[in-house]
Amino acid sequence: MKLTRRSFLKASAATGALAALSGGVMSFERWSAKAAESSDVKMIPSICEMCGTKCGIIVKVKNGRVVKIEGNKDHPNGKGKICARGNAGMKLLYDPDRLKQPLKREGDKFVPISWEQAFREIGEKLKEIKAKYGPEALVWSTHPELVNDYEVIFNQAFGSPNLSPHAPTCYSPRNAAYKAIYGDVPTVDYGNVKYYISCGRNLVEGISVSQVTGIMKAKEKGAKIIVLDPRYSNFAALASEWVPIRPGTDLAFLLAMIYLIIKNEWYDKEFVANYTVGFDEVAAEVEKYTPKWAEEITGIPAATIERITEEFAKAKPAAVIDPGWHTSRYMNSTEMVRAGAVINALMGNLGQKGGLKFSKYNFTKVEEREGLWPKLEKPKAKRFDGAGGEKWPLAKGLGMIQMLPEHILSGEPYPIKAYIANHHNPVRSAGNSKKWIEALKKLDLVVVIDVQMSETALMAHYVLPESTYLERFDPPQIAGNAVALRQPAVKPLHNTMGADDIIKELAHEVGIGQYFNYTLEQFSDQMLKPFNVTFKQLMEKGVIALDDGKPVNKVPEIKTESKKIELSSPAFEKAGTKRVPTWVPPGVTERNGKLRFLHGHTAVHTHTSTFNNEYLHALMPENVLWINTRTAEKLGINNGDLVEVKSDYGKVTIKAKVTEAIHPDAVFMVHGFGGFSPYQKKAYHKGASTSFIVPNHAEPLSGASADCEVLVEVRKIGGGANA
Amino acid sequence: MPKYAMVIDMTKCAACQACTVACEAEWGLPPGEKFTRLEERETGSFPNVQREFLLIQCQHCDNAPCVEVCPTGATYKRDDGIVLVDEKRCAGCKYCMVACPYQARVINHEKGVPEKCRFCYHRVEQGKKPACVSTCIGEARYFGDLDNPNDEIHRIIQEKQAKPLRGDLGTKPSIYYVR
Repeated sequence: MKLTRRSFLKASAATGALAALSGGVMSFERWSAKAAESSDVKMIPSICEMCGTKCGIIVKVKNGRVVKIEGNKDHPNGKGKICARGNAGMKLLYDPDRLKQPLKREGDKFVPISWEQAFREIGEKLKEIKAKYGPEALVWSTHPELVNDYEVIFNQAFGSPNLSPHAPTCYSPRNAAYKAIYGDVPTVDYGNVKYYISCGRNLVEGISVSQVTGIMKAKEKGAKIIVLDPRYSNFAALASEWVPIRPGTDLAFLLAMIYLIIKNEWYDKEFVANYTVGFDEVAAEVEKYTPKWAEEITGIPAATIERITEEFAKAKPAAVIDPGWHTSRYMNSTEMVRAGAVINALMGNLGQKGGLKFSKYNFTKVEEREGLWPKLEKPKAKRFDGAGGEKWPLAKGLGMIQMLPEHILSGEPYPIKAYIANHHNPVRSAGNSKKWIEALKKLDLVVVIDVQMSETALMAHYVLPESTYLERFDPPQIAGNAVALRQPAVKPLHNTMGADDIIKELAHEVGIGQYFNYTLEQFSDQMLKPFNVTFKQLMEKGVIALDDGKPVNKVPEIKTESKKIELSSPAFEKAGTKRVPTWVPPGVTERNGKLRFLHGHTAVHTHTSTFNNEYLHALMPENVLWINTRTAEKLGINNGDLVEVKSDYGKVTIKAKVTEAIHPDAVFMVHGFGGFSPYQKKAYHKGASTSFIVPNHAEPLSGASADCEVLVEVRKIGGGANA
Repeated sequence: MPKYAMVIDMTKCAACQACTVACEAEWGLPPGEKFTRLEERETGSFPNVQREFLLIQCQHCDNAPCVEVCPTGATYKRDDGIVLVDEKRCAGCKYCMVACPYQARVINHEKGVPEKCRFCYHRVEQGKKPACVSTCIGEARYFGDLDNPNDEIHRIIQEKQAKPLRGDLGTKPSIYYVR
């Protein structure tokens, strides 16, 4: 029997057959036949997806069941090690609360439907909306994963400019600042750094495994690690020195560092002369930023700033201010990242051992690849959020997804009628849950693609269940000096599909199928061609190195317009600020008993996605509110008491952790807890969700969510276990 | 005959609990039954604060109090230094739990057996490192054979001046700590 695409869909009740939808030579049958040749224990090289950092893994499958996941020594991400979340991966695969079939909302309930019905109905609705309101009425948001290229093709072919990554709630300030003045976003040569300063970058709670291994190696070799953080985090606990800075004032600390470095001529003169522009402008601007001035703002003694700066500069070029990761905290975060970038340039650390480095390899941008699909054209309409436009040039490619509710509700600049979220849960990750819920209710079509019933999925008209990372292929990955492949360790357990196939089927239904007439193997081979690697080779080996991995310590090509590091930046000027780093105060100030609300990661959970994992749930079932001992005393709060935390946007209840390890003006909780999707039974209503406290607003330079710019009042509402 | 030992360098521990979950997954333990335990201590007052972490698990003592008090011989020490529990012989009296000065025993509620770290003997016998050592993202854990003079564990203990936990108790643990 010849199977057509359509007849496959009809056969979709037979779960296993679905995997073959990936088509062609890389079908599941072929893979499983190959796998069956060996004994009943198989070791499958693949890529983890318990967070976004994509470490290499080896999945041990015994009698068709995943029994253990270990790190893959050949993969540059992790180099054989995985974190607590990676180790718990099989508990996602076997979670009984997972999404198991496509669902459609009927009233307050979700009922199972076939894939065919789901694709047909969503397709019809999308076509109707496009005809009536234009393609820009669709917003598609994503936590950009390996399948992101498919999303780019779909949105451009459909004609929507509104593909939106999660960047503004995460890394927008870092990317915006470094792209503008370095032309690219660097990482740190952690293993060889001699003097390392973190401005809120928490390497051991916002984990990228290789970075942790690296910084520990550096520490063992005697590197000095300085942590600026209002909270004495786990990272501060293993650092050489904790700098208990007032929230939102790291920029002042860094400006005083620039002042000292220039005044004392501690910078690398040759590097500055050869590779930067705008030094004199910076020098003129920072004259007023004395350590004494910074002391007033940061609460850190001038002498401390002077000592750290001198030690730091003496360690150059292996002296680094970490560019950061989740930098979307304050209204001055992009300015803060830029000040750090300028200091890095003054140290001449780019391309040097223990300094900053650019990634060596990249895939050609999907828009520039040719042959497999008709030529893509830039959508005509402007983005709903203005990112990349006149007011927000630095937000290009980053977007402002946290502002979606406001645009839906106001109808400005045009009506938004459809929303598709892939691997993204903004109802809880992008601030102000109440407003997101209110806005999503107004839409004609909400579709969520995910592996579990997220809070955003609760708002959907259609929920499309994705196969977990242990059950599917994805397009290839570049990691360090290697290419790697995610591939299934087991057949899909339920009636689920990979996001690549989901997007492909949707495309056929909305009349842009001609952009997806290829198999994942053909698509991947096209990506891999410049590296002389094939998809089949990757299936065999999992990871293929592209060179000997030996570091090359030289200054790389700088891809700015001037071909230099732009200490004085026309791009920043265009975005509406000074050409050189300057002081900008944070958006709100703690006073009258109102405290700064801080939040962040923990090492054992990821965003809102791991709280129903039974190992990780047992390890950390709920969060607590960190509050300084003296602050708590004033409020009559004892350790373990139940407290209410209230902002202008909402309130939550949570247990208090009374501690000396946080600034008296701030409170902190780990984010991601407080799930309210009843489908996730273990995580349901455990701990408190930061998303009810945090507003939706946009930092003026990068458009980041600046999600620590919020004040809260804390009051005791009940005695705790220790009360 | 090998004599297995471990070094845990707390100055390189990220407190990330990768070891804890790797161990649970390796042994297929029920959620919440953990053979390693991360302890935390806060001292000082703001801004002069210290937070310290300590990873505790069965110390595989040469003078193991749990072996001594076990009335049925269920807890025993192998010649290679690994202390194990034979669950078939365990009467569930929990003397071992009380006797262990490191509180390293955890109850398996299904079987009623006080369980603990097994030094991943099945991996070690195949020349592999225990699951916790192999996954440690800070490379804070080392494993080796004290009977082999060429094993790097000797150098690591010496260079890092690693010491057993509560050496004063005379239990002679097989785990050495750097703090």
